[in-house]
Amino acid sequence: MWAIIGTVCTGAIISFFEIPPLIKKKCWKEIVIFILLLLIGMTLSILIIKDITIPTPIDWITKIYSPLAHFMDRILS
Amino acid sequence: MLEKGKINSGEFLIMVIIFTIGGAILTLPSVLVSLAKQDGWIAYIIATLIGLCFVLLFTRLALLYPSMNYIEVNEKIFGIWIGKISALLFLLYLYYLSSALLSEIGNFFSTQVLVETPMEMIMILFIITSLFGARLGLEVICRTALIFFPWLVLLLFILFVFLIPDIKIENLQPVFEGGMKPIMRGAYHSLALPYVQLVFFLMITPYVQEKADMKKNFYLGTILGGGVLFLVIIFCILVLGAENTTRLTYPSYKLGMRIGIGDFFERVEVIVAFIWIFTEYFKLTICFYGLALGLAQLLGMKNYKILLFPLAFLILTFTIFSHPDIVHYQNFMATAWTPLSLTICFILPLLLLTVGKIRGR
Repeated sequence: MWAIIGTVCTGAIISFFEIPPLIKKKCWKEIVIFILLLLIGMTLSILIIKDITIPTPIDWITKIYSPLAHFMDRILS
Repeated sequence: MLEKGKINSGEFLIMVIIFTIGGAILTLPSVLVSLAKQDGWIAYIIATLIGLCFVLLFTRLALLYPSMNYIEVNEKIFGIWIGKISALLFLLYLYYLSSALLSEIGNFFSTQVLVETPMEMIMILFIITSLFGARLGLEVICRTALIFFPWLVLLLFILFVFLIPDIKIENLQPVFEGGMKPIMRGAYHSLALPYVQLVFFLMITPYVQEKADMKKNFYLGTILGGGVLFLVIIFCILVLGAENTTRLTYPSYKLGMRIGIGDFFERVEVIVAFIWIFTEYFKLTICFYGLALGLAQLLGMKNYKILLFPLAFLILTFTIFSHPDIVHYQNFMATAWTPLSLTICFILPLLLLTVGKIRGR
């Protein structure tokens, strides 16, 4: 529980320091991208803290490349 | 222009050397020697020669549009949409590379040095330090590297010179025991670890002042960095033997443990471990910086610094969930990593250069 509160607090502190200068400069696009990325990051950290298994993209990459990897292995061994 | 800093070609040389050494010095000897046995050093020489061909490609591409970095060149040559997709693939690769570096340093610390500290804490501290560096910009990163470089040289010197008494030349024999196949296999797998990643420097070549020297220093840095790695690999084989090197996860750290002059100059491995802490730190920082800069250019933002904090969050979480355990990581490194790196860092730039030449005519 405390870890989740810590994560949210970190996100809030970062936004508190980063967003006001952007509002002053009227960089709306930057604000949207910043908040979006921060929210994705925080969601992922909370999922990790809660011990929920996130499917890793690495497994998909391994699956895509496995024919090529096997082919190279066959040639070179 | 998002980055207004300028670096000179000497700083570029040092960055290339550090980038080549960083990361590879910890894990490469084990991987290479497990594939090619005591002929690992031959495999590494072959890989270096192929790596120089990669550098030829990258310098050609860098000099095609000297004032633009890789993301901008992609959009210029491939057009907006295909260019953006190709640049995004490169950025995803960079994202994975940063998280792999972070997990490497986390694994190293939590298994060898700070055994009771949780790995996440080490990674958080490391990424925060990196974030400071990336926030200060390219010039600061490169000049800090310049300050630390003499220490790096000194520590490498200590490592190699004090190991000379422990060399057993018999460990190198028999040469060509398994024929050419294992050597080629080792060379193929060591292509992806240091050399093909040098494509990253296309992100910072526009900010180097002397273009002619830049080209020369790119080759020189690759050869010098490769030379250091070659020495580390051959010392691992000579001192520890091929079988021991295969069995260890971090053979170069074990080399540091072997140093013993008389009975008083012993257990200096943590001092020697500063070599990989420095190099990994600078490699991570420059990758992180490149990732933020590239993403900001891709999305057409006015400032890249705003992206650093969210990206630190994302890199940290990806490091934790991308590989559930070290077996998964090593399995990925042994199978899909090399073809993946070659696709993104060799085939895409080659395509880019070809299309660019045709369009430029």
